[in-house]
Amino acid sequence: MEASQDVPWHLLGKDTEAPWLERVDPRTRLLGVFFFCCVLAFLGGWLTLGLALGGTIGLAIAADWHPRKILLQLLRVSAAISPLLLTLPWSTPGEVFWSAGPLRVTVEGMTLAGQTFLKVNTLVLFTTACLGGLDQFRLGHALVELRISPKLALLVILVSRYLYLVYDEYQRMRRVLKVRGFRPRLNRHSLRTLGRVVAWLVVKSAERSQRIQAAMKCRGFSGKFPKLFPSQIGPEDRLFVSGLVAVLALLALLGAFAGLP
Amino acid sequence: MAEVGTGRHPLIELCDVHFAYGQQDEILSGCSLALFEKQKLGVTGPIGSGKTTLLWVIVGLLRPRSGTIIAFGKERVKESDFYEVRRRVGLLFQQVDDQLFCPTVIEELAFGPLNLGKSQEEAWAIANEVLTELELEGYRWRCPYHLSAGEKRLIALASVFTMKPDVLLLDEPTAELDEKTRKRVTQIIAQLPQAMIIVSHDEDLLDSVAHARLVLQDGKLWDEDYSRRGG
Ligand SMILES: Nc1ncnc2c1ncn2[C@@H]1O[C@H](COP(=O)(O)OP(=O)(O)O)[C@@H](O)[C@H]1O
Ligand SMILES: [Mg+2]
Repeated sequence: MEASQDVPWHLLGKDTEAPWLERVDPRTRLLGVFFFCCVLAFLGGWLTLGLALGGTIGLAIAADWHPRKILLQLLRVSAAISPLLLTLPWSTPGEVFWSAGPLRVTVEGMTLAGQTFLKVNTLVLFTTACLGGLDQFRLGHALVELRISPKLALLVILVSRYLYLVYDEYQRMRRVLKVRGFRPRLNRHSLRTLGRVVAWLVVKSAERSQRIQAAMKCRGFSGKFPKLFPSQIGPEDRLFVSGLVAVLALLALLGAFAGLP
Repeated sequence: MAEVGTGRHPLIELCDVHFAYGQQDEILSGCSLALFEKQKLGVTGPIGSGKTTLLWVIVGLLRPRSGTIIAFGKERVKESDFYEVRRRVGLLFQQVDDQLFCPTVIEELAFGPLNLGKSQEEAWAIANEVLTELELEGYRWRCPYHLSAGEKRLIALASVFTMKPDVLLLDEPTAELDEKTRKRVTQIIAQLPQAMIIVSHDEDLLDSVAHARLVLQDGKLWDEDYSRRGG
């Protein structure tokens, strides 16, 4: 994005070529995620939950997510909760659907597993679609401006900086080991080397975090992350909010009429 | 040599400063120096001799065992004494990676001024001014982490400039740079009006910029007055 000093102030800091969801104010997105999660938690019924997932996939596509990325994310989340999905059908009491020896698969159990699958996938996809594009700064600033907690905001910013630092140091060390011909195998030499790498990682990261703290002090940092661009609620925010309200109302109505609270 | 700034009070003065990390041997064992207005002081010395440590002591990131630090006419002892020093002294870190942490270059440059209480508009204007001065406009929206080592150094330098410091402390400003960028950085430094201490092994840089040189060795600063500038 090319910008000069003649760009109107309210557009500064907003990447006008980014997908529209990225242009929605972080605060709006954060609140949106919160309300969506609250409402979804109370919803039930195949149709309602199916529509919720469908709508969320639609949102992700509208936010320029590639279908392959969406599919991959759904698969990953499903894999992560697969232990739950696999145990629910025969650990929930109810009408027996199929049994083999001591195993009793119940109708209720299958329903619960299926709906859990839909709910969790919807939640994770919605949250990542809304917040995934936010860096720690925008997230931190949004937390401050929503008066949630300046301490939490500081923590978000510093922790993510620190994780990046450890990751960066780890990458660097991996490169060094590779260049020096190290190939991990299951033997004493490999294990000893890996042990040293971990110790080194801790030491290096601690040293670097001290330097980062020093650098921040030198630039007048006093515990509050300043913000360069003013936040503004724009047309994208109105679109996001009205769309969300409409969808949530529809889902709530459907859930109520289907008699499955 | 047209004695730069002598006769007035030095901006920064160290007297017999001793420093050690924890209980280890002393890294600095009796360092003294004076930096006058408009003076550019080069500091060389073997690797590990404590050059970086010296710069950190000046801005109060490390506290000396003994000795005095006088900056801008006042003795600085406590942490709160050094707030003003850090505001007026810009330190360019040797490891620039650790100096950068904002999502975009422009926010990186505005970080300092905003911390000093400037408004968003003012910070934006200052940041852009410095970007233009250093011909770095093309980087405005880039992410600082994803730049090359040379580019990172230029951005770090720019983010020090936006604080409008009276004194610059540059820790190996041309290390790891390619020839072209090295020349550019040398040129930029040569044009700066501020007094500065330049820690470097870059002979070209020191030759063309430094009014005087000191060598840090065995914990002490030794004179090595080349008097190259201004005859
Ligand atoms: N945080 C630290 N703790 C202990 N020793 C340190 C620390 N930082 C640097 N040193 C040691 O102090 C000495 C001087 O370091 P430094 O000032 O970085 O040297 P230079 O910049 O001249 O290469 C080195 O021997 C180094 O190992
Ligand atoms: Mg050093």
